[in-house]
Amino acid sequence: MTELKKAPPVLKLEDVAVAYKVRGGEIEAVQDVSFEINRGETHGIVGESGCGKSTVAWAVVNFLGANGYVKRGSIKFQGKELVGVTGEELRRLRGDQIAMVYQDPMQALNPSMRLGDQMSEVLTVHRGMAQKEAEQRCIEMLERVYMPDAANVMKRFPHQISGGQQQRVVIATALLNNPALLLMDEPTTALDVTVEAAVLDLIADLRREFDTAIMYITHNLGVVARVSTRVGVMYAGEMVERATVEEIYKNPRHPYTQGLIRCVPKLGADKAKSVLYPIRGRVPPPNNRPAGCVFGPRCDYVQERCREERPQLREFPNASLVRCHFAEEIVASDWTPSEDIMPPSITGKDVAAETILKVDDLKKYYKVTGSSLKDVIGLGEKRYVKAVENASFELPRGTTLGVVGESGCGKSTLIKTLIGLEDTTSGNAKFLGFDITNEIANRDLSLIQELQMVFQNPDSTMNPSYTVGQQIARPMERFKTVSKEKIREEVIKLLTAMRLGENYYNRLPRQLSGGEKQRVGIARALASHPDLVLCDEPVSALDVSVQAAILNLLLEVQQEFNTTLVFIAHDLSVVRFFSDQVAVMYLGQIMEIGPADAIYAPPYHPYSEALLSAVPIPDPTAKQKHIRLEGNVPSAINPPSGCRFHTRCPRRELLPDGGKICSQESPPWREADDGHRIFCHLPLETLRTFDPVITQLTEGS
Amino acid sequence: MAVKTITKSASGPSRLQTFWDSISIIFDSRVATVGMIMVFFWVILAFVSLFWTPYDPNASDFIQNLGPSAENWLGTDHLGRDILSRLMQGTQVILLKTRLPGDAGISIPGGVAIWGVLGSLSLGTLLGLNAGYRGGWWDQIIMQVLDALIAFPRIVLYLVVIAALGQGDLVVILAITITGAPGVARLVRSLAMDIKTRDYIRAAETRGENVWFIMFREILPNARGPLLVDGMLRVGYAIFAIGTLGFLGIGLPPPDPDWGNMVNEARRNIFSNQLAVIWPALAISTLVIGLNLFADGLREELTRYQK
Repeated sequence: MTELKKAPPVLKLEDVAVAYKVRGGEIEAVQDVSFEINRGETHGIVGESGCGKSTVAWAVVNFLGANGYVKRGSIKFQGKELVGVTGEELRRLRGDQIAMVYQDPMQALNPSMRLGDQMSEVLTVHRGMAQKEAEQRCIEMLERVYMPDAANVMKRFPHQISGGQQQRVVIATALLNNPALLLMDEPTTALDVTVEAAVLDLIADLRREFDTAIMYITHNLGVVARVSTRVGVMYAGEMVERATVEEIYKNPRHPYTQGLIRCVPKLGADKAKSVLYPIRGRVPPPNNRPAGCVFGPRCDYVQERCREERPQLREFPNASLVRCHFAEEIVASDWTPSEDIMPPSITGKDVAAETILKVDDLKKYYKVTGSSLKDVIGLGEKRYVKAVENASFELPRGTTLGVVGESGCGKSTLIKTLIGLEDTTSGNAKFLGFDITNEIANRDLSLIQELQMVFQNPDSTMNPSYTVGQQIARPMERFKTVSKEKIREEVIKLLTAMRLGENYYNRLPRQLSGGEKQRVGIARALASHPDLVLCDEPVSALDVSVQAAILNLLLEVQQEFNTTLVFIAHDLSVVRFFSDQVAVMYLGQIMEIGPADAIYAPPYHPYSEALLSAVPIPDPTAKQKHIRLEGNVPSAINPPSGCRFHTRCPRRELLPDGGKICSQESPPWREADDGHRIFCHLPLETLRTFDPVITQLTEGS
Repeated sequence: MAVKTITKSASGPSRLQTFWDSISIIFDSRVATVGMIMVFFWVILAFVSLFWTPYDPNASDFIQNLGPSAENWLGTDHLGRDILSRLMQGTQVILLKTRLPGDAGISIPGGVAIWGVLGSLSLGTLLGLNAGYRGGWWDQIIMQVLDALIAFPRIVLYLVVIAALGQGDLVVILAITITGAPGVARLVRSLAMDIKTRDYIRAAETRGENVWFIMFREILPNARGPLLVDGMLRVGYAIFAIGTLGFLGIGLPPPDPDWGNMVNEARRNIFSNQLAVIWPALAISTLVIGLNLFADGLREELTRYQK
C-alpha cells in the first residue's frame, strides 16, 4: 500500500457518493466508496442485491441515467478525473479504454446484426480502421477467446450461437481495443455452471495476457474467490470491507462478511453435519438506512456506539480495510448463532419408510412442428423434443430427492410431468400407489391435494391482487381440509411456522420482500398438508442470506410434517446440503442417481465429475480438479446416439477403440452400493479409480 | 364511471386506507387532476339537472335564436328553448339514466354511455380471457370473428344495428357494446397471455382449479388497471358515438335533449346563430377531453407505480 507505484492506478475511486433524484427528494444509492485497481489486477465486488454494486460500475462510465449523478468524491481513470466528463470525450472512452461486460449476453448483442458487423464496429468507430482489417482483428480476437470456427461465427446472428459463446463474443468485443479497464457486471450469472467455469478460466487467462485491470461485480462468493486478487464487500451502498481474496475468506473481519460466508453451504457439506446461518433481517432500502452503522440492525455484535456513530473505513495490519468499530474484538470462530436464526436440528431418518413415489421408465416428448412445406401440410416426418427419457427412481417418505443438471436438461419437465401440468408420453409413475401419468384435470381432488409445488420466482409466485391470508386460505377452502371457521386460525398457524407472524395476514404481495414472498409460497404449498412437495429452484432467485433462511425453513417443515420433497436446483452445493438422494440429469436422461454423499465422491459419472469440477468454491485455497467440457449441449430433438453424453465425455478414451461403444449402444446401469447407480459404459472399477474432485477444503470458517 | 368503480372496491373499513392511497395517485398527475375536474363538472351538472334546470328544457318559452343574455345565459335555440337547460338535461341520458322502451317512461340509473361501455367491457373481457388463457382453437375462432367485426367501418355497424332494431336507448347501448367489445377483447387477450405465464397461475393449476376460476379470479383482477383506463377512454368514445348518431338523427330518441341532435338542429341556422352549434359541441368535447386526460394521467401514474 505504501509502496509508490510508478504509474497511477488504472482506476481510483475516492469517497464516491452516487445519488438518484426521485420524486420528493433524492436517494444516495452509494456512499463513500473508495478503492483502486492496478494493472493486471482483478478487483471483485460482492454483496447482496440492492447494495449498490452495479451503481458503482455505472458511475465509472457515467451511465447513471437521467436522474443519477455522482454527488461527491472523485473517480480517476489513469490519473484523469472522470466525474463530469460528458459528450464526445465520454463516448471516446466508453468501449475504447473502458469496456463493459454485462450479465445477459443476449441483451448485450443486437439480435438483428451479424456478430462480425457489431464487433468490427468497435474498431471502425474508435480506431478508424478499414472494414477488412477490422474483421481480421475480430477473427483473431475470437480465436483468442477460444471460439471454435471463429471466421464462421462472424457471419452468424446472436441467436445462432449458444449463451456461453455469446458471452465470449461480448468479452472479445470488449477486448478489441485493448482497454485499460474492464468492468464486468455479473458476466457469468446467467450461464450454466460448466459454461461459467470456462468463461472464468478465460477471464483469468486474459487478465494475465493483456494485463488489463478488471472490476468484477458478482453476488457469488465462489466466483469471486476464483477470479479476484482483491475483494471489496459492499453493503447498503457502502464498502464495509476490502482485502486480498485470501484474507477475506480466511480471516473475514466485518460481521457482514462473516455472515455472508456462514450462510453459503460448502460443497460437500450436508444437513446432518453442518448448518447454515442466515443473516437476520434484510438489506435496508436506500431511502431508509439506519443511523450509525448501516449493518447495525442485523449485526450480532451491535453496541450503543454502533447506533450513534458511523464507523469509518480503518486499515488493519494485514492491509485490509474494515468499516467497523469493533473489528479487532470480533473473532469469527467464537460466534454463536442467536436464538432467532437458530436452524433446525436434523434427526436421523427412519430408514424403513414406505416408498411414496415410484417412477418407472417415464418419458416426456414434445412434438415439434417444422417450418418446411411438408411439415405444414402434415406430411413431414414427426419430430419430438425428448425432454425426459427413461426416468426411473423411487422416493421413500420424508426424504428429499435433489435433481441437478444444466438448463435444458429436463429437470423442470420432469416435475411438471409428475404434478400433471404436462401429460406423460409413456412409462409409469405411481404416487401413494395411484397412477399419476395423466394430466391434472383428470386427477382426483384428493390426489391433487397431496401433490403441491413451490415455484422459483418470488415475484410471480403470489397473485398481486390478493392478500397473504387469502392466498394461503385458498387451498384450504378448495380441498376442504379445514372447516370454514377455522381457516383463519390455521392460516395464522402456518404463517407462524413460516416465521412471518399474524400481522402478515392482511398484507399484499407488493409489501413483502423476495424472501417473505417465497415463505408465503411455501406456506401455500403446505396449506393442504401434501405428502409430496415439488420445489422448482425455490432459492435460486434469492440472495444468499435469505437463501439460507429458506433452506432452513424447508428443513424444519420437512421435519415437522414428514413431507417428501423433490428439490430442483442448479447449485450443486445447495443440493448436496439439502438432499438425501441426488439425481444428475443430462439431456433428459438421468446419468447418475444415489445417496447424496455417494454422488459427490468417487465413483463418479464422468458428467457429474465435470459438473463438480466446474462449481466455483467460496474458498480460494481449495484445490479442484480441472475438467472442462467441450462444445455445447446437443439439441434434444436429435440427441446423440448411444450414450447422450458421448459427444462431450472427457473419459471416453478410457474405453477400447476410443469409446466406440459409447456412440453406438445405450450404456448399462452400473450398480454401486447403497442404491447408487451410474449410467455409463465404463465399469465401476474404472470409475472408482477417479480422484475426488475437491481436495483440501478448509474446515469451518 | 371512475367514481363508480372505485367506490365499489372500497368495501370494508380495512380497505379505506388502500382506497385513499389508490385515488391519491390521481393528484400526483396534473393531467389527471385537470381531467377529473372537467369530468366532475359535468357529473355535478348532471345531478343538479335531475332536480333543477333554469327553465323547462322542452318548452318553447322564448324568442327563437336569442344570443346570450342575463335571462338565457347561453341563448335560445331555433324553437325558442333555453340552451343551458337543454345542455344540462342532455347530460342525463349520457351519464345518469337509460330510458326503457314502452310508454311508462321508466328509466334505470346509469347513462347510455356508461352502460354501453360496461357492456363492451363485459363482453370483451369474457371473449378476451377465453382467447388469451385457453389459446389454441378458442383463440383462433374468437379472434377471427372479432377481427371480421373490426374490419367493418364503425359507423356502418352502428347503422346496421339501429336499422335492424329501431331507435331507442337500449339499441344505442347494444351498438356501443358490439363495436367496443373487439377492442376490449384484444386488450384483455394480450394481458391474459402475459399473466398466464406467471407462477401463481401454475399454482392455481396445480390446485386443480376450474378454468373459469383461473380466468376471472386469478387473471382478471391483475388486468384491472389497464382495463379501468381503457374503460374510461371508451366512455369518451361512446359519448362521441352518441353525438355522431344524434347528429345523424338516429341517436337517442326525443323528447329528452341530446347533444348530437342539438348540434344537428342548430346547424340549419348556423349563419344566424352560431353559438347554438358551438355550445353543445363544446359540451361534447370538454367531457370527452376531460375523460381522455383523466385516463391518460391515470395510466401514466399506474405504470409508474408498477414494479
